[in-house]
Amino acid sequence: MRTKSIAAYSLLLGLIYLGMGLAEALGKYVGIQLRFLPQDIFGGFVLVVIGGVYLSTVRILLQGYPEGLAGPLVGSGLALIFATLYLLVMAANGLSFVLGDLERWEVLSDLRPGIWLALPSLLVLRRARQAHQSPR
Amino acid sequence: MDEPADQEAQTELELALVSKRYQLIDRIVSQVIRRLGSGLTLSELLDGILLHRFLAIPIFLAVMWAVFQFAFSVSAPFMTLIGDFFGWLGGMASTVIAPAWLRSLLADGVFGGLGFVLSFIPPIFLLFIALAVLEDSGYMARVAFIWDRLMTRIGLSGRSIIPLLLGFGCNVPAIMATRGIEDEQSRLTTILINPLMSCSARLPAYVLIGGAFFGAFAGAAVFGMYILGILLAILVALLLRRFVFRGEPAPLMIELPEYSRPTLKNTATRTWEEGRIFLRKAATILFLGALFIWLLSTQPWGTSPADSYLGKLGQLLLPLFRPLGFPWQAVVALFSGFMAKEIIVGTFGVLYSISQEAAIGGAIAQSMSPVSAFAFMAFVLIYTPCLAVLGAIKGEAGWRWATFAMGYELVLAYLVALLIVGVGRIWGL
Repeated sequence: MRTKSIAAYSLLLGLIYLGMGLAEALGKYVGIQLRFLPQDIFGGFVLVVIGGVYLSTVRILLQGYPEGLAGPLVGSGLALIFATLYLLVMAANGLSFVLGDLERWEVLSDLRPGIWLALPSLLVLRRARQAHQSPR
Repeated sequence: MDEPADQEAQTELELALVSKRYQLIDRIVSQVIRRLGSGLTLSELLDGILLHRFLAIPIFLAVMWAVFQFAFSVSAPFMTLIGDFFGWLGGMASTVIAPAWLRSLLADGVFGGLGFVLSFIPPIFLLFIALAVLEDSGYMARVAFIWDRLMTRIGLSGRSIIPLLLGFGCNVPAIMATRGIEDEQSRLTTILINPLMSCSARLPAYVLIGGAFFGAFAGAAVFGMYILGILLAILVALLLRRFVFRGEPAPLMIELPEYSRPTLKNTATRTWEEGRIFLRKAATILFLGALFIWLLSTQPWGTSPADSYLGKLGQLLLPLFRPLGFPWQAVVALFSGFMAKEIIVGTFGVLYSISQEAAIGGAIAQSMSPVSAFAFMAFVLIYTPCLAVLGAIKGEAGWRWATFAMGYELVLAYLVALLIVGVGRIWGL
């Protein structure tokens, strides 16, 4: 039962990451322009990869196999790594602004989807870890 | 029995032994350990995705992109701080010291050249921190496993991946590490393609040019150089195995460690071990190189860098590089890079008489188009390895192959740069 609820979370997060990733990578070419969505092919690729990882084990999780926990564990791990990276980049941009290297710096424009999507990922990671450690 | 058949039988025997050994281990473990939870260890679970047939390589590429973003974007303000400090020292020297030659030596030669090179300490150390974390976590061993299938397809041994990965740090120990490859044909191929693995010495040049021309996409441009190096290494390996070193490579046998949380002590130790090589170089060969470049760029005394011996050398070689759109300063920088690739940025520093990375980037941006700048980055990646690497190739494979490596890389660098400029022109860039 627990794996099924994790499967639902993984499916939802996987689709959000995939959608955001495609919009970030291809937005420039299809005319999608959102304030908090940078136009960055590599950044978009990363979100698509995380989405793919989440989605890769949804079917196995729905069938109740614990092997499926790998998807949410690795997906959430990657999500947290990239969120930390983007926060560090945000801090570095702030420092560059203070030093006069950047003429303009808006904190909100550095708040990429990779940062705020890590919050629900953290919850999934917690649930997946609990499911992995608890007796069957 | 003939030799290849004998080798194949030996390999099969080794694989059978390994397989039996693990069957025995699994049997004993299942008898003495009762697993709670999912019944799988965390490493087994994670390997299900990190070694996945389709996801493993995209995850690896995403992780490597994160590594370069971390090294490049996070280090930017610290590079500015170091550049500003040396700029301030140069300014102090200019106001306090009376003799013009001593003033120029300190402000332009010492603080301009060496100070500029030292401003690349932050990205280099951050890169080593990231690689140390990956190594300590157990992921690097998986990288060897992930790439083994591809390695075998391009005619290399799975063992080749370790020297190739080491090449991202420094090609000298990487070439020495090829001693572990039993198959001589694979070993020679690995040695000859190793300089195409972008060592950390080339990073300052990428960071300088990438920052000057590609703004927010600088990290992607730098990452692109690493990918280009890997693709070219694959191409050259295929050609070498097809026409020069024929035969089948030996399979990879590697024990994957459990994943573990990297410790601060291990990460710091590994980072220091790798980073101090750069610091030692900065204090010796790079310092002397900067002084040598300053001397050549100021003689005959009183002339501008363009009329100096160095400027004349650059202009002499310029016709060769005109199709690529490189200015004479870039030609001189490439020439000095034969000694050590880090000297490239120091040379720019001396030639433009500026120590701040952003200011030099601005000066270079005036003299080259973005397409030529990208071609220059590719040229730095591919062209003739530095003296130390040539020495290592000579030591491991002899003069013949060292000369071959020097020649083929110079030609390949020119052709790839020409291709980039040509494609750029077709696209109207």
